[in-house]
Amino acid sequence: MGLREYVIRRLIQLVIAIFLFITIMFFIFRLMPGDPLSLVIEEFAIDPEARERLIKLWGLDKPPLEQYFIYIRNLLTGDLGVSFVYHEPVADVIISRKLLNTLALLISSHGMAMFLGMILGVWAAWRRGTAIDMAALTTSLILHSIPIFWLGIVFLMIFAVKYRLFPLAGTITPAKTFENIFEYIGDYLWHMFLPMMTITVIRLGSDFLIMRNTMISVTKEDYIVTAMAKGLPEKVIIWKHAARNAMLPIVTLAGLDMATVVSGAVLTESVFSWDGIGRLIYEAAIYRDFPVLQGVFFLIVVVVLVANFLTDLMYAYLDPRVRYE
Amino acid sequence: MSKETVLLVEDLHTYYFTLGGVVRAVDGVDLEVYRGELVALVGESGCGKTTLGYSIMRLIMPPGRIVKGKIILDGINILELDDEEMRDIRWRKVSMIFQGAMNSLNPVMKVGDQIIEALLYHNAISSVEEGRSIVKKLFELVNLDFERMNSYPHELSGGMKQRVVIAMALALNPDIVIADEPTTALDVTTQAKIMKMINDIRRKMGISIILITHDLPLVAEVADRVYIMYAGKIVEAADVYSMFKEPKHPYSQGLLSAIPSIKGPKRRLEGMPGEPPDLRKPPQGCRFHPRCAYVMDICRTKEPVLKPLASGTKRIVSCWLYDDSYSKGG
Repeated sequence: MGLREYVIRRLIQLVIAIFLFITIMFFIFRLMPGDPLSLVIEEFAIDPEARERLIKLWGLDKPPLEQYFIYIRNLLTGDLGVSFVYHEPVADVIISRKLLNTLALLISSHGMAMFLGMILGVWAAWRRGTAIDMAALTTSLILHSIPIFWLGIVFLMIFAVKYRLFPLAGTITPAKTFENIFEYIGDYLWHMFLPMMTITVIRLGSDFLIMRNTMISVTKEDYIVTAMAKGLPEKVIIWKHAARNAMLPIVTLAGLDMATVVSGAVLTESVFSWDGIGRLIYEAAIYRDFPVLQGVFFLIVVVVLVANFLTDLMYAYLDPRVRYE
Repeated sequence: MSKETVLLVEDLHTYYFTLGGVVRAVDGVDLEVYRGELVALVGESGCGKTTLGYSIMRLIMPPGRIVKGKIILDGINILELDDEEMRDIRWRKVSMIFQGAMNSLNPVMKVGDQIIEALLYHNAISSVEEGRSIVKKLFELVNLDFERMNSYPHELSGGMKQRVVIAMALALNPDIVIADEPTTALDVTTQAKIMKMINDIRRKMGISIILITHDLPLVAEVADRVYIMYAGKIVEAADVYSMFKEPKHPYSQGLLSAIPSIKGPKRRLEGMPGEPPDLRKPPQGCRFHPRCAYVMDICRTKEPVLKPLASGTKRIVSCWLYDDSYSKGG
């Protein structure tokens, strides 16, 4: 099978998966206990006439199948409903500064963790069994088991409260006027530093462990012995022969990680009051803002499926065997 | 044939320091290889043949270590070289065809590039173009289409991969090629073709080959001399004719009687009784004595020495049965 057929087959699978998901989501929200109306109006005494008008407006008097088709049509046209809390279209609530904030925080921290984890993992695997490898292994196991919100609070206490090096909360200094864009970016990065370090440190633990372990199993492969026997320099053996083969599982992991990248880090964003999607999910759950929750889920699923698709393409590029299987 | 020594191994000890104890995989081996000859190294699985081959390449990884001995290649003791000097010698003077050539190619690199790479890092070529022309010559030598150099390993059959691996081993025109069971993973007809090819190339290029194998009919066909290895030691060495005509060591006799023959009277195949010893705790005295049919008292207590059968011959054996000092003295 050539690369083209491979891509086409994957694309068809992608469309089917998205369609299946939105169908399941429709039924899950239908199966939830209670009347959708009660979610909006339980706290207010609403007169029956207004209630009738809302039911008509939302199409809840129509048969389920028709509701399903309206739902699909709305999704396809990007109409995700109106937020109960913000009273704005859900799409506008999600695709906003919040999404940008989350992407900035998570892409930078995951990228850094992955980059460092890969380099350190390769480096430790090549020195497996030595004291320095054992130290790195122990440290990463500890990091891997630390709760992320705890580390966030510790960072806040040390660097924001005690030494006052970084701000306590938010994404930008409130009510401050900026001379130019660079000053603004500087302030933003200054706010982002602690949450970013928190996520990086925690992620680094697992990225390092995975890279080190795959690297160790790769270095036992016959072709690595061949590379050594050929008298290649150590650097070439490590990076060109071993690391490229060991990178494959990390690429998979990066694809799966996309779910976290768009859904934000709920805990970290809450600890640092980072105005992103993670905090939006948290608030939507507290205030029962179901349209927003549904919209975020939809976004997450689409991104995850597309990311998986891209991971498969990346794989086909990195490993020529994949195209033919 | 001129008798120029290319490789001399003296009193080599390679041990693996495992949690379960020290495995004495190579325990005092002497070996000599002359230019242009094919030497077979024969023994059961786990007797240390492969460890010996890896020691000559200095490819023993922890927990393994070369504890003692000399490996003199072209007059240089390679055990005294630093890592960078050794890196330069690998593949240029001694290369290897690994057991299971199927897995000895990197799955994500084109096979041609894997050969060119070896040339590049030994400064044997100044450009990739030059490398291509060398690959072309090598592929002609092993009967592969030149276009195959752009294939990935999984696109080739087992026999083709084996040819690539052989071409790769010859790339830098080494003095010695260590072929570790080069044909075990192939079907019988391919085996014969590949082995014939290796032998023809050896004659054409004047390379020495150490063939590590337990395939005795193959040894009889291609080898000049044979070393028989048992439990980390060489027990007998002879030219192939004498060895097959009249094996001296009881272990060699046992090995050779285990080959079926299509000529001559029908006979029962004789297996050898017993198991090879645990190399963490080899038996006292001669390591073969628990399985030996001719065992004597001295065999249980004192280890025999590898020495010439008669003075002035190259035929050596390590067995009390042929030791004059013992039979005369006792």
